Amino acid sequence: MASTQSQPLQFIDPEQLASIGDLQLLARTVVNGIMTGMHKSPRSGAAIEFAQYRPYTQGEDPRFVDWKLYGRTDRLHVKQFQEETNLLCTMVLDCSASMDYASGAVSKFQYAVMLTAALSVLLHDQRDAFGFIGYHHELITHVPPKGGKPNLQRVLVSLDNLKPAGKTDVASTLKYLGDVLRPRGMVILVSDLLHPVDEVIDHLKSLRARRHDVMVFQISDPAEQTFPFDQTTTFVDAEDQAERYAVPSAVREGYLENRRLHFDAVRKECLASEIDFEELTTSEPLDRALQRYLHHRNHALLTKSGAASRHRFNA
Amino acid sequence: MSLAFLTPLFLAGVGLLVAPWIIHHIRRPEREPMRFSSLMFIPDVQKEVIERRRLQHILLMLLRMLMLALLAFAFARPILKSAAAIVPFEDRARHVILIDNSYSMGTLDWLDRAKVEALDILATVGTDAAVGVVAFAERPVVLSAVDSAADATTTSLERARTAINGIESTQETTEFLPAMQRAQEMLLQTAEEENVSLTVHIISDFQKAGMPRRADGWKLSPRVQFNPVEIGESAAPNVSIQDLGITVDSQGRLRLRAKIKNWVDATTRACAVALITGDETAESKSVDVPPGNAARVMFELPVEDTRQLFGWLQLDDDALNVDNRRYFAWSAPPKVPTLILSELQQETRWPGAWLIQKALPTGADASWTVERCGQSDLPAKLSAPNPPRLIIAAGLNGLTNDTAQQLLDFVESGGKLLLALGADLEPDAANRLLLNALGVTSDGLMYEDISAYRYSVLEWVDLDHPIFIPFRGAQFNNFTQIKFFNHHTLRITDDTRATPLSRFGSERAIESPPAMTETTFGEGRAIVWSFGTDLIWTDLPKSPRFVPLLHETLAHLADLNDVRTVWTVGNNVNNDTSVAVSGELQPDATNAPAKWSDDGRFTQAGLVTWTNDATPDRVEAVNVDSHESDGTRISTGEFELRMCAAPDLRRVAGVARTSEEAELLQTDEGKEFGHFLIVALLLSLLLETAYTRYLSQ
Repeated sequence: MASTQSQPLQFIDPEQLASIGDLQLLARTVVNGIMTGMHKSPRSGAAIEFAQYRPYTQGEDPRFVDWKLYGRTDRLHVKQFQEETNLLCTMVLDCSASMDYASGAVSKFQYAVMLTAALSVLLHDQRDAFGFIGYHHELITHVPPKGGKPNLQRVLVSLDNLKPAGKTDVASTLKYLGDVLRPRGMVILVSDLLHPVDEVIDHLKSLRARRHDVMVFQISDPAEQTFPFDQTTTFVDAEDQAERYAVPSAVREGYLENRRLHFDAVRKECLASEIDFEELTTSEPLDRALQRYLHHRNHALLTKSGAASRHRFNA
Repeated sequence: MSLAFLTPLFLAGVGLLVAPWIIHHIRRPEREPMRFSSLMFIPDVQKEVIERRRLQHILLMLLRMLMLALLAFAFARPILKSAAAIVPFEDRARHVILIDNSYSMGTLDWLDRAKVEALDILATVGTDAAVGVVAFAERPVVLSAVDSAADATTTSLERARTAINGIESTQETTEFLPAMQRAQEMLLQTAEEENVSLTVHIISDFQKAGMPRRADGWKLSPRVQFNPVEIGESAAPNVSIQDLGITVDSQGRLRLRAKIKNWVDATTRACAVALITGDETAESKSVDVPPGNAARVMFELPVEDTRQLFGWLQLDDDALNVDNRRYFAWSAPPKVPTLILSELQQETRWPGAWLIQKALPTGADASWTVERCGQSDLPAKLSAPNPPRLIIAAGLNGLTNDTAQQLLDFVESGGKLLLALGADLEPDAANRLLLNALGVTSDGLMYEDISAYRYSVLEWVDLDHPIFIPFRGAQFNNFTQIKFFNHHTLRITDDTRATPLSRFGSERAIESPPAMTETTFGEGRAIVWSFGTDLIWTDLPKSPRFVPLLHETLAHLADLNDVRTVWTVGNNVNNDTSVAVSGELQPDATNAPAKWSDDGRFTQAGLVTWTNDATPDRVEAVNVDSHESDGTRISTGEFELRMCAAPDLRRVAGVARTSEEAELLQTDEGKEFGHFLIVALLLSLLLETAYTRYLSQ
């Protein structure tokens, strides 16, 4: 064990992943890598697990009284069981033109598609229901949350057919999501969040208001993080084709400061709304995002605030 | 002042100036928009900033263009010329024609062709030119001087023509450097003005062997033009006798060894080698010599019945005849009568005098005859018909006044003495009887008793002294391994006569006692060893340096090293000290007579007999220089490269062949200032680097 702890994990580089043409194979490669060492339960069919004892109170169903314990202690206790329910997870993917930017071999959109596919495979393996929504200024595709392999195929085919284009219209997407999403589900938003900060925060708050468990993967390109350009250039906006002449050495400091303020505000609002926010760079391995998701789900199961919507206790 | 360039082709590099302009315009930002994910974080830039940045980039482009221009101009080697100094050449030019008449030019008709070439040059220099003619081999001989401008007449050409026709070949070797120096000296002496065209014409077969071993940095002046004319085809086929040496073996036979060298023949050469003595062929041998290689031949002759032997080895004829004959002369080594003066020392197992006697061979090739006697027999030996010329005094216990006086008289009258001060000679007696007269004194013994663990060593020897010259090699020059368990502490009292040859201490320590001292007394000389050669006092006799040290010491005392037996054509007898010390010599020719000029220089190979009253007649051999047999040539281009200043320097100095060129070039006082451009380029590079770094911030 000591040896496994001392060795760093060997993740697959996104550039190498992008060279895999089959999206399902790609996603399976990533998930198998992250799930290595996590053993499945040898028992099957046991959906109800013992959680704890609680003193019997009047009016409770006597079926749950532990009579053996009563015989030993001469006190009445009821057994509480923890029953898992199917998770309804909807992955929301930003398909706007800004996601098509790439300073290296992998664009933000490619990275987001790979991430969504890997999450889909991971959810499928965990027997959870999952769906998918792609949007830019309007809804592009919607796969309602379901379990099973056919749904996985639908999601992957939809992902494969997506092309990034157009501007982002957060308001219409927000409205649509409110209409179609069942409450108390899980929403995973994959976007670069390059919208005005107020719109983004309203968007996220509305999801939380519907008691969704929200997780945000914010995708960035390395060039967006450092602004490494040195030639004086006219920059063209990917979404509205607006142009701006800029001397990188002169504007770099302002750019980085603006970006920091924007995402600090988003991060702060997410923290206040108990939204898990994670920034990913296209040069990072996908495994990190998946680990982050698994950590988030386990955390949600163990905390009342996050897990209450998905667990009910037998009285 | 005007500007000129030594390598103007590099100015074409100015065309590269367009490169920065192109690069700056291709990379203009407005022509290369960059798609970016969102402009929401990019702040607006003020127009002034953009304009300033554009101006800065233009400045950067100009700076880079300046750097390229500096580079092109620096490579073009600019010079500044003074327009005021531009004046035409004086019409009358000066020439010196050097004609090689060395031995190698005797091949076929090469010298005649050289004369024709020289006459052709005379025909082209113009009627007003002043021409000097120099024939050169080992030394230059001025046959016709260069007239000064004042008395220039057409007779200069006539005298030159006469001198050229009168040149004869010699048997001397080729030396280019003295000839070139002499020609330059002649030209510069007669033309102090700078507007005179000076030219050296050299007509030679350009033997590589004639190049100076060390040029010492001498180059023909940039003012002087150089015109080489090569004579003959490639090196002529030649076979010669080389490295002739004579030794006497232990059986008393004379061994004569030589190498037969096939210089340039493409095929193996079969040669018949004959040994000729007394005008008769004594023996003949045949050898096959591969091309470019040498074969050895050896002849053996008995020498018991003769004191000297002379003759020559003869080869078949080829293009160069004289080096087919290599003369030799051998004389029986002079026997120096040597006397070892020593009392018998029965109590000593290995007495020093006995060790010295055993170290002196007495064979047929020995240079001395050795006798040994005690003090009582010394008067008889000194008055014998063949008295000793060299006395080795080693073991003088009980030295008497009479013996000491006889030794001093012997030295004063021209005898040579090696005095080894051993344990048997008391310091006071030695000082009183001998040493004070020789300019040294003994302050006593170094140690009171003998110990194997306490000894002195020779920490300094004079390696420039003839005795120690053979010991200069790294494997021989360490004398510190020899132990001296005791010795006399000598002190030089008369440094005008006595010179230390080695010391027990370092050279800087003046007080360190000398171990060996050479001193003069009257007409003779003495070498004083402050140690005896008994093994009780020193292990010198057990050292491998003992025998050669003793031989060299005795040879130096007997002047054996100064006898010269080998001569080469061109050597000057009058300048040779070894001949002079032998008295007034009158050369006389015998059956293969060597010839010499009035000034005492040998001009022809052969045999020469020296006769005088003091010594028996001695025959010596004179040969051509063996280097002259090597026909390997040096190209005229390489010759010019090694012996002349660089062409560019000649241009800068204003030397030209034509008047148009002269008008253009003659006045370059100018100095190249390309190096300033290089400095400016480096500064520009630093500036560009800093500026680029500033712009990228």
